[in-house]
Amino acid sequence: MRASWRTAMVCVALAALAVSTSGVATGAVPAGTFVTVVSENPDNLNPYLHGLLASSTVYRFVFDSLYTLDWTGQWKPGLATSYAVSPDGKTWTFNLRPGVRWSDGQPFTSTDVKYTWQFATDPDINVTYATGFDKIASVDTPTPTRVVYHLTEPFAPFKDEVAGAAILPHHIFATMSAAQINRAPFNQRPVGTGPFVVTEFATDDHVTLSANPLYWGPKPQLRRIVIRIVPDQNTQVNLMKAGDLSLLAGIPPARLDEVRRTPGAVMKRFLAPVYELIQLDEYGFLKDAAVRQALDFATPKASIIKNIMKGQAEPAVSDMVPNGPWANKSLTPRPFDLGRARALLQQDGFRPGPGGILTKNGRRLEIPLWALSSQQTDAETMELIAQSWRALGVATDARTASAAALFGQNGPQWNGKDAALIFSWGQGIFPENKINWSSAYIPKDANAPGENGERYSNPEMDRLLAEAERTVDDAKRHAIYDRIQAREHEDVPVIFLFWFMNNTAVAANVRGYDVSTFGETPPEGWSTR
Amino acid sequence: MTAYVARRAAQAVVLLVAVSFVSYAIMSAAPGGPLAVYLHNPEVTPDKIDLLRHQLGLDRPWYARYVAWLGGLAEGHWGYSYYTGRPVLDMIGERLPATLTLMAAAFTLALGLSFPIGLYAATHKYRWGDNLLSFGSFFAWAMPTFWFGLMLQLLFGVQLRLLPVAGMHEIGVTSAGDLLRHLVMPAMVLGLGSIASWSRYLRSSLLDTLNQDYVRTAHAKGLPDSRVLRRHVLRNSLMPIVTLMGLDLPALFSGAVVTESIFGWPGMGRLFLSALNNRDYPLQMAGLMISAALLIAGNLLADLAYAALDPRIRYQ
Repeated sequence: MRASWRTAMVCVALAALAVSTSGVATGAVPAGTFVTVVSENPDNLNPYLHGLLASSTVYRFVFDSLYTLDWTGQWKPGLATSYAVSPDGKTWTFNLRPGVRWSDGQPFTSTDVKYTWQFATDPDINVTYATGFDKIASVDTPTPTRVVYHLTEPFAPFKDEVAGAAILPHHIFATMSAAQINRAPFNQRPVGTGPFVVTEFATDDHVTLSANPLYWGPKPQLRRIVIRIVPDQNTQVNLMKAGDLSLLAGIPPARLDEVRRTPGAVMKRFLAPVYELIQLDEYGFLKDAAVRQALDFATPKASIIKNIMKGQAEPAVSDMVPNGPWANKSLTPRPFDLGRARALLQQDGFRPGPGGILTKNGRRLEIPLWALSSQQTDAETMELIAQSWRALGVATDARTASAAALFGQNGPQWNGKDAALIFSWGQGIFPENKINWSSAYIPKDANAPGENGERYSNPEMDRLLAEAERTVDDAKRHAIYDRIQAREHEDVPVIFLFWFMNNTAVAANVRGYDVSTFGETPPEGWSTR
Repeated sequence: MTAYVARRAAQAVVLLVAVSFVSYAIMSAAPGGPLAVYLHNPEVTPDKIDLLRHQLGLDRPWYARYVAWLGGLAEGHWGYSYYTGRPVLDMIGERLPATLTLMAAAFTLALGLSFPIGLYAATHKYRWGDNLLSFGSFFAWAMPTFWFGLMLQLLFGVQLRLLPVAGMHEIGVTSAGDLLRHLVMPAMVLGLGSIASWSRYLRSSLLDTLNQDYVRTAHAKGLPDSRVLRRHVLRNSLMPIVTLMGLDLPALFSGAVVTESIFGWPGMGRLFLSALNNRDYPLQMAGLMISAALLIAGNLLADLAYAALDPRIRYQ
């Protein structure tokens, strides 16, 4: 028996060795293939129906819009070649690119453009992403290559929200009911006009996109793009180090040095249009702008950027990305100054009470801090801020919770008490921020949605936001957004902490790839040797 | 025997309905909900969220949704995922083979390693080999799964380049050899806890049996050591291990959640983890029901194995 055990063990060991050394060596990405990774299984590849960011990482290769904002921040013609706006800002006419075909061979026409509006506004379709389409009164299609949008009122964000939105194929959906559309195979295998087509979707494993031979633009250099689905961020870094990836975006600051040392990897560093903030829920003392300003003074932003973000962030002063066209350059963040914070609160009537806690009219200044449990850096940021606020004399408990618990019903936002929530946010590179600051977006109850969770309300802000939306003239619009940002800085509806720096590693054999705050170079120009 | 199994199966159905009711109630009472993902997304407007709430039937009370869900289940419909719009059963079917492969590999590995380790440790009590294995077992038990997985990746995937870091196949390759190469590390990580605990239980159970009178008698009869060990000691020491194996079945399933996430293994564990994060109720319920069913099945299997191992046990 001893001998048979031994023989068995030797066999197992040999088998393991054979398995581990057979086949191709790991870490080889074949030429003409570009491999990248996302954390979640893309839920739905229809741009109007998806819920997860991972989905847009896939479908952006498949669909086109009338106009596209390129990676330098310039608008470029896509499915349209030119456009004109009427002087009253209510009629937008687009001339479409002739000869474009869908990846299934059908011709692309103005009918598809009109249908996309009907799709986006159909109340029976489970649409998640569609803003601006409700401002459209009607769409005319005088010829197959001409589309005329008639708006209900002048609407400045039209280009960002509608002209920049994906166009869907009418011929696929024409005979489907809304219920069928919600569950269509199209949602996993979409038909688009873009440079790549989804040719394989292995759930939770990878999505393969192949070059679209019918693409209207320059012929794609790559044969295929493979998007692997790997949930763990550390595993993603290990994949990059093993040479299994062409591209890894959003490397966690803690592993940045390690990835930098990977042979051949080129690092791209850019400001992501996403900022970290503290939402101040205005119930009691937080209704008072002086208290909010004092808390801003008492928040050690520079220290957070240096010690927690390891320098991979830039100070924030408003909700417009600092290297973008909409940032108000005259504003500077409040410095960290506990003395000024204390003076502001003293002027406001606060006096130190038992235990050094500030009190006013017999009530203690109590502001609990909350952060997302899934974000390690958020929790660390919270601890640092809590220490500083306590030093000021604020009674501050620090707690973490899941996103569902933090933002959903019964969460800390709904308990009717002052609270401060740390998370990240951003309307991207576009300026439209009405849903954040308008009093019309204050949630009415725990079940009613509303993005103005801080319950900030200022009639002047409401007026400016409405005016910005109606002002089509670019220079005037810029001036209004400057005033909106000055208002944000004065009123402190939220404390702006910092903008995230995105670190992306690109493999040595990749050509033609670059990335900025505004986006990536067109994928048809990427190649791998 | 047949009557016994039938009775246990009937009890299981009642138990599962009770489990489903409690789970559904707790799930609905928890803060947040399926739309919280959208609430925290700057690009989804409030009116869209309101519309979605209505379309998904989330504006109905939870007990009404539960009754509808249970009614559907009785007819064989597991419902549709809130996020993909696809039938829950299809989504599970896609991932089932990957999870079963991983669980079977981990189970086989645990079986293949824990027995020799347990036997060696018991027959070399308190010698350095036994002490080393004891230390190793406790170390393996105490080690966080995710950390062990990442360390294996760094060693075998990044440094030595012997094994793939993650995934189930190289892109475009479907051979069995490729699958085995990808299986080595995740199966090791998933099976490690079982190897550690089974070998410890086997050791102590063997030590108990080794002190029995009938073992001494067998030796006195002049039987060779290997025969005593196999026939008299091992067989009589199996009872606690079999119970443990039955109970480890659902543990392997839930352990697969972490292992699959670390190794990008396209199985059910990840599916249910994301369902939990996104509060995709239909998927979440399917995951809970499957793990509850596995727990009940594992117990039943252990009970049945008792009878096979110990002729004194009779089921009525």
